[in-house]
Amino acid sequence: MLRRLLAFIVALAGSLVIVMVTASAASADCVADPITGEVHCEDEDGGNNGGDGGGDGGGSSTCSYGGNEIPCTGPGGSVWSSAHGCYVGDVWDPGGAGAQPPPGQTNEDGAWHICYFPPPGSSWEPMWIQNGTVTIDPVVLAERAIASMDLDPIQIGIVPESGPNRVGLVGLPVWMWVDSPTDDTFGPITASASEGSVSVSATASVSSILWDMGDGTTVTCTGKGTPYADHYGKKDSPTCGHRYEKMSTDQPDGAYQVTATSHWVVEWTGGGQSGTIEFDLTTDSLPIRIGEAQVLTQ
Amino acid sequence: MRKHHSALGGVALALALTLTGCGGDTEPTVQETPSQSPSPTPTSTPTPKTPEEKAAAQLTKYLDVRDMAYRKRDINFKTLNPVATGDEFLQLQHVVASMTNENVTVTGQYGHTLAEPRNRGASILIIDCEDRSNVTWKNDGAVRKPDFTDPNGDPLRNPAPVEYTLVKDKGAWKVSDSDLLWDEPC
Repeated sequence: MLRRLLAFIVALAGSLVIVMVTASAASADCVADPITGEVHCEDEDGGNNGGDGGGDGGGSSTCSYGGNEIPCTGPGGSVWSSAHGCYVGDVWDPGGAGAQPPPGQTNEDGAWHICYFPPPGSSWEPMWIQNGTVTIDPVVLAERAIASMDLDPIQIGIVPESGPNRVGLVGLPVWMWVDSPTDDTFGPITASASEGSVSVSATASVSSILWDMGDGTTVTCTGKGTPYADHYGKKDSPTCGHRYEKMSTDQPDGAYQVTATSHWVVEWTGGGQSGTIEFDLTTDSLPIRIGEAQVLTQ
Repeated sequence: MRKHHSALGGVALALALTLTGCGGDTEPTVQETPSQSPSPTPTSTPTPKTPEEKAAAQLTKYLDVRDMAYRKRDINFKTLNPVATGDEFLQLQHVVASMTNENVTVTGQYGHTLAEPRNRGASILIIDCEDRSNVTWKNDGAVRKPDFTDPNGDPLRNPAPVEYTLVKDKGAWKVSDSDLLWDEPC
């Protein structure tokens, strides 16, 4: 549990770095810094690998502008501000002399910042940003909220069951479901995080589960699945099932290794922005043995 | 990479406009001359027909706008909007703002040679061989030498290839991204 949580947090941190880096590098591989003249290169795919069995990180966040989705971070680590309609960047201070605040404001109230306008742009001017209106990237707070949810992979429910004395049969239905689902394994779950005057609320839910059956096939189920009961007999699962076509005797340890990857979708809002973060959490593998009736009865 | 490119064709155009009193960031005035002739007179500049030709023409325009923005440390959105979008649109603002904030200046003319466009369907890639032989970058009035360094810390080769990505936006090809291929020759 703790290991998975740590892996998840690491994955989240990785995804945040990706967001910031790609924003800075504008998703290009290599760019030159106009101030230092140094060429910096970033791996577009780098860092977006997940945890070690517990989590498969990755994430993205988008903000909205004019009905379109845009990244929440812009060039130079700037942060999207829907209130200002631009990415708020560094303090605008050409010459270092210090620009005068607008009428009615003092330097204690805020500062002039560089604003980057998404296309199509119409102006080119610094923006007076009052203190507290843009203090922290809401995405950061969203990530914190997610980390506090203490999310886990699901518990696998499957028939035939896993165990040394349990064997399923080729061609018979396999039922898969989320065993004992909880808020932190399937959602929905809501958490919030705040810093200063910015507060973000995030709600996470599992949108689908990818079942890797170990025989080269995967099954995607959108719900929790249906727990098997004896009275179902040899019926197919109405929601999430599979049939093995071959015995598992030629597999390592004589069993198919089944995993379930839950795809989490987190909707967050706060700081005048909203966005979506998605990531996966994968279970440890569960061995399922499959034989044939004629073999078992011999 | 989005820091330094402009087209020789653009330079010639800028010089021509300057000599005729139409230089700077002002848009050239279009004079519509009604013609009584039933057959239009052929011009020496063919209108781009294919998507690749249109994309290359748009890139050339963008490089003109960008180089002008570098030199003036100001952006004419009226000319930028039709030719750039996405990250490139934002990055140009970032570069120009940073130059102004840190007192970095650019003088001289970039040279550009566009390679054959590669059509990827939703996007078109064009490599520009950018020559900055006649360009000088200064920090606080002092010439920066070398002007650029590659990730290994060595002086950036000149010319250097830059790969541009153009996407269709509202019916027009626009520059959306760029990538400095610092370790490849032109």
